[in-house]
Amino acid sequence: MNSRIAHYWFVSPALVLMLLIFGIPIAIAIFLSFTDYSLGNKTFEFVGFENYFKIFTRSSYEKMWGATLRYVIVVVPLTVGLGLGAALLINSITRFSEIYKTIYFLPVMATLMAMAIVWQVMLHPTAGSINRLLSSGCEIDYIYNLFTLSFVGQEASESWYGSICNGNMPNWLGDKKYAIWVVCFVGVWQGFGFNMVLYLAGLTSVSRELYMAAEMDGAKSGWERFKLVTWPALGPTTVFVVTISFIKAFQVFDIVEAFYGFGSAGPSKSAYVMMFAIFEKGIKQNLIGVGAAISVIFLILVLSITLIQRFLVERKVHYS
Amino acid sequence: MNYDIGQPIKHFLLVLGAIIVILPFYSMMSYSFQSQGEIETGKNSKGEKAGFLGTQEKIVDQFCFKSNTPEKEEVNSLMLKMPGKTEREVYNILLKDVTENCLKKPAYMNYTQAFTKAPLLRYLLNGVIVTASIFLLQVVVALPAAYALAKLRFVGREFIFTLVLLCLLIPIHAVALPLYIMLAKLGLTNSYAALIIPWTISVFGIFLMRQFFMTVPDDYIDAGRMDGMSEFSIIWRVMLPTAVPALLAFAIFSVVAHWNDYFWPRVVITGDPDLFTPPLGMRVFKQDTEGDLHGPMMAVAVTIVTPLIVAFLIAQKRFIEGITFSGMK
Amino acid sequence: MSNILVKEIYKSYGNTSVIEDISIEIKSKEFITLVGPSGCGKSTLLRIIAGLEQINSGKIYIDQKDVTFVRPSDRNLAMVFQSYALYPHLTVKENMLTPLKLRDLSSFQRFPLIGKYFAKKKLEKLDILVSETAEILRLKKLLNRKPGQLSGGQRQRAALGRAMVRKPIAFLMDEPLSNLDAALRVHMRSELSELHKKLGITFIYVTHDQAEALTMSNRMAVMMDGRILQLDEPNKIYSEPNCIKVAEFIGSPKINILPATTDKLGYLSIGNFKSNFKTKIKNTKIFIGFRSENIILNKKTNQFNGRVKHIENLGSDYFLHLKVKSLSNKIIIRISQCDFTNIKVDSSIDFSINLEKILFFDVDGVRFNASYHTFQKKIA
Repeated sequence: MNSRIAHYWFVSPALVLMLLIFGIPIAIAIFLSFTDYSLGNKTFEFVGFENYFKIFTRSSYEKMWGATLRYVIVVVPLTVGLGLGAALLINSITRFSEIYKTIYFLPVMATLMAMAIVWQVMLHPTAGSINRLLSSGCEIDYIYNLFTLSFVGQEASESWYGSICNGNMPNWLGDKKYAIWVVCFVGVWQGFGFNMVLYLAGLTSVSRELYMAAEMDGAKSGWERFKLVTWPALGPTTVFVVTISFIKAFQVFDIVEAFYGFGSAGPSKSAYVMMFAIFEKGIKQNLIGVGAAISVIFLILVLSITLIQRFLVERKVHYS
Repeated sequence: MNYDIGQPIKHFLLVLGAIIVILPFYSMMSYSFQSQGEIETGKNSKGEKAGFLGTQEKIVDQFCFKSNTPEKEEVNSLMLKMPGKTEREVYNILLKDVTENCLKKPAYMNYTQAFTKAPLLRYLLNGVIVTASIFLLQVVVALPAAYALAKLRFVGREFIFTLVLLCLLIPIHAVALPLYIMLAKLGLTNSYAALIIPWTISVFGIFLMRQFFMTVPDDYIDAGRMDGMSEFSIIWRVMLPTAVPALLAFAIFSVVAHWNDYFWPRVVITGDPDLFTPPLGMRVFKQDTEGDLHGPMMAVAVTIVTPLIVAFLIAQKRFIEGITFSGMK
Repeated sequence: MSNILVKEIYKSYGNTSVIEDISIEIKSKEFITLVGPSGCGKSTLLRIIAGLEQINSGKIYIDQKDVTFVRPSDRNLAMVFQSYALYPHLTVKENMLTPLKLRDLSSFQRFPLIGKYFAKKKLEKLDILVSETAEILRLKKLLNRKPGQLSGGQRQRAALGRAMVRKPIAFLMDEPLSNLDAALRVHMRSELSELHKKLGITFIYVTHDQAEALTMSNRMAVMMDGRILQLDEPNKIYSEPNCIKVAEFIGSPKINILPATTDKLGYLSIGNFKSNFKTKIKNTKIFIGFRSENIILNKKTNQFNGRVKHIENLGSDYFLHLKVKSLSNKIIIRISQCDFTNIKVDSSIDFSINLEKILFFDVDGVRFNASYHTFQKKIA
């Protein structure tokens, strides 16, 4: 075998697959997003930007944007913040740090579909253990006073917890007041452990001498040392963690399917997230043009987030 | 770090977090051992606390009961043996028998139902087939490409590497719809091929292995060439053994991602339960039982989640390293 | 008058003890060096003085004040680290301002964005301090660069600048030159000595490099296995080490140590060679040490004959590694360029030891006075 030709043999499978699985589909998605194509139809027509226009104006897509943005805006800061917080705490304790690390990482390993269903059972309005826990707190005076805020003079029965104790158990998944936030909660529960291990890896590269220098320079509180040493040193990690958290947040799907399942996206579509919309429009309703348009928008969102990340990384002066 | 009086506070916060993180795992296990009544009330029939394992009071398995309800012929044949009893009485005797035979411990009942109400073993097998094939194909495609991109010089190498970096930015979710259309046009939906093909190329794997190969000294390769090895055997006999740590990290990354993946199987598998992967099977199980059989449903969840969790607990260092290594690029 | 006193300190990590009963008094304005092989506890001792490491027992006083339980930032000491430990995201100027701001501004005045408007006057004062220091260290042009854009020597100076700017009681330096290349290291030695004279501040300097210790310090402490073996002026340490360990550690090439005996009259024998050099001790097995320069070539007295095994050319001098028949140890001698005539590997060399300068050690390696000559002080 001539080695020169061998070189191309080595890369050609990858090259062909990249073309088949990324190149061509992207072209198809862009193309179809300007049509009214449906699977099974022989013909289709160009509709220009109509699909995109719909996505940004129709009220049904307003739900999609609402749910997606709510999810992203809540889940990204919380997974990043809790990931950082957990990493800092674990890094600063002298014992049991391995155990905490293992526990916090469990949700990352576990099948999200299964765990979301477990959460659903726990959050069942009448039979769930969460509501049982809430109502058992009603009988304990100081908990009741604390959560109803009656200890600061609030009218107990008017408070959120007070109304729970009067028998209005929250229907976590069925009430549109709660639905998307519960989805967010499970997203955070599942996602922050991953960010935690990335931050822990980032923390190992912070030089111990820098902390000593900060101490000598008069940074007495942990907060000052964090500001002066830890946070700047974690800059590159943070940029990376935020980026992947964003991309993952835009892809949320399993939790909504687990909770509401086939066809529904929560009470009054309050959990109608982007992936669900692609799936519902493009595959279930066979409105491929619209589904493709949402796919293209999703792609643009992800690419622009990555570009911002690259920009931030490049701008940073590379220190030794 | 020397002047830390906050250790107890830190542990308090961490334990609090750990409880919330563990809670669903605990509930899942606990529910999978309990009867429906215990799950719904947290108490057994006598009003005592059910505890982690439940009280394991025997209860009637409704499915067993339904499928064994005495038929007319059985009653008639027994009536011949028991003269003097009315049909009603005989029926009741038989019914009592069936009820007794169908009395089972909830834990046993939940797990048997999990495996009999749905082809759970089949789902697990599918999961193994799909994740293993995906990983093997990814390695077969990625390893030579990564080697060529790291160690060989040829026209277009930079261009191809740029393509890899570009594809790295594209999440598969964004191309799911066109891929689905392509597979549908080829008549490949509802097949193992549909589950596997889109994942055969892992640009991430190529990138990871290429970065790793860059750190392998050229001397190894030159030594191989001096011994008369072809480039092909250099890949499998020289590079592969050196790449085991990176490969392991990638394996963990790949297996975790594809065992747990729900979105893609949901898209391409529409009806055939023989092709369901574990998460899809779990979702369909919930649908078919209308989400009411909490015990068996939790038994399914435990069965699906356990393999990875156990592997993780055994080799947690490797897992965390693998995921971080893969995550940091 | 700054005066640092370390009293009977012990330090261990778990069961391994790293500092064992060290006491040391550091005089004001002194340049004192802690020198020893790696792992001898010298850096730990420095960090203990800084307060960065806790001790198991003992006391530390600065200016007669007990600071054993005072945290590092309140001891008013400055430290230069081996890795320089400059804040990588801050410019040189900001790096130098950091200790000033942390000390002199309230946390409100350090509040991001708005704080600086409430501390304008103070900030201007601090800026002046920084530029004065930058002047001394020739850092003016580098003030707006980040550490990543500086060369090793420049980083070194920036780290010095950060330590100097707030006028501490003492400078603690942890191997500050070890990351520099050889030429720069030699250059920085003289710069540091000059700086010490100019500033008139106590320097406590840790190094594994005996050349740095010998060239710069007023006094040096030789440390091994968590103890101080000897604390004295560099020339004393060189000429009068109090044990074989110190003698071997200080001086390059290594001092020659040979087993020797004295006869019943006190005459010294080295190997086969019986000298007419009389010592105070009789009938004893001892060790003698002599430095490579303490030999005389081609003298017919107390002759040794050695075969050259290896030659090191240092330009001004040559080191000859000799194998002497009657001795088991190799001998290293130093000869100057003008004496070096036609010597090759395997050449045979006649030399004698300058017996007046030899050092005597007992079998445990402790030096004692055995000579009738007067230059050797009695060791306490």
